[in-house]
Amino acid sequence: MFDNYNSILIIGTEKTGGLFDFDGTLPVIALQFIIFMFLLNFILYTPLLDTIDERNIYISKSLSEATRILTKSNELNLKYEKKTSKARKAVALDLLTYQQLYKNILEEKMKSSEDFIDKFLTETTKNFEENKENILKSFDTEIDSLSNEIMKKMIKS
Amino acid sequence: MNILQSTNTINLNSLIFLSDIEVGKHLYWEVNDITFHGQVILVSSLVILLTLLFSFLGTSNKNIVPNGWQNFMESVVEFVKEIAENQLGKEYRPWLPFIGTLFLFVFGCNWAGAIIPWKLIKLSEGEFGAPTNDINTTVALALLTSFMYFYAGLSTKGFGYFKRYIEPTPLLLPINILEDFTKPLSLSFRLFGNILADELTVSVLALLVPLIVPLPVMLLGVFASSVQALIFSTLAGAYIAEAVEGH
Repeated sequence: MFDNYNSILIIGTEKTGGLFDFDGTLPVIALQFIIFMFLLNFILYTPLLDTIDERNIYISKSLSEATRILTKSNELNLKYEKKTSKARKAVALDLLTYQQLYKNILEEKMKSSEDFIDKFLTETTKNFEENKENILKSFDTEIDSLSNEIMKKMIKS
Repeated sequence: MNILQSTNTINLNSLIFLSDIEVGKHLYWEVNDITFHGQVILVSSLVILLTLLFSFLGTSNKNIVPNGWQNFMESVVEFVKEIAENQLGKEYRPWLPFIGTLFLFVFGCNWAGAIIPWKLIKLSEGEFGAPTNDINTTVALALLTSFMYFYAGLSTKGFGYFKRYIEPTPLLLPINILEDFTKPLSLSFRLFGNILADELTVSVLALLVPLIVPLPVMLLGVFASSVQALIFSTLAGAYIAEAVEGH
């Protein structure tokens, strides 16, 4: 009886605990949590979310800048391409006209040189014929004289 | 007789000190007749200090291009931000500290219990473990959640907040009032029960078969711990969103 009472007393004064033993731990944990929350907000959430926002702004800024530069470069590219194609066309046209021009000049020159050659040829042929005739004529007289002499010598002998 | 019994238990304890089961024993601290569970406060303080250390490492040298700890902590912040954003939508920022800290604290406490081999440190009474396997911790968090959603509702809608008790019909008034009691109750007991059950399962299995067999259950415990942290913070977010949303 006494023993039993004693053990009950011990349970009463010296806590043996239990699963559902509510005590001062509850407010301490709550307080710890609240302090933890404010500290984390101050040293973790605010700075990192700020950094993330800053980065997002930076990225969108750089992106828009890049897009701007890209459109500008595309515009310039188009402009210069137009210019080059124009120049190319002009050059092609020039080339064609100059080709035509040089062709005409060449043809003219060729024609004139052909004429000259023809003329030269006919003249030369004419001269040659004349010379030939002259020479033949002189040969004839020479042959005549030689034959006369031969005749004379034969007659003499 | 008493002495013999105590020596007996000590012998048994020293034989299987890595795997004995202690349920409902606490390391009591007493200040002005108020008792505290020392092991809970010590481990939760450790968790808080570790998280603060990680946060400090993550933000002490922050750059626009993150690296190292900043990268890690940014992914953590983005994760808790997503939890808050999923429940609260665009207006998540004022409630992010609460929901995010709830997740980090519960997660840290659960993992501290599941991963650190506390049995290697002997206490005079009780044992180290997850702070969330003590009812005081979970009830404190659940009451804070209740307080928080009341505050959220009152700060956004004023006393018009209490109109929701008679919506959609005044007939539901008792059930709506009952909900304010069941919410913290279910929150606290879900977390408490899950973590305690997990630690008990591991202890019992380790007592029966000390090698290898408890490992899958331990892994399951690590997984369940994370899920419980996610559930607790998501539900807190949902309650706050419910209180904040306009009709």
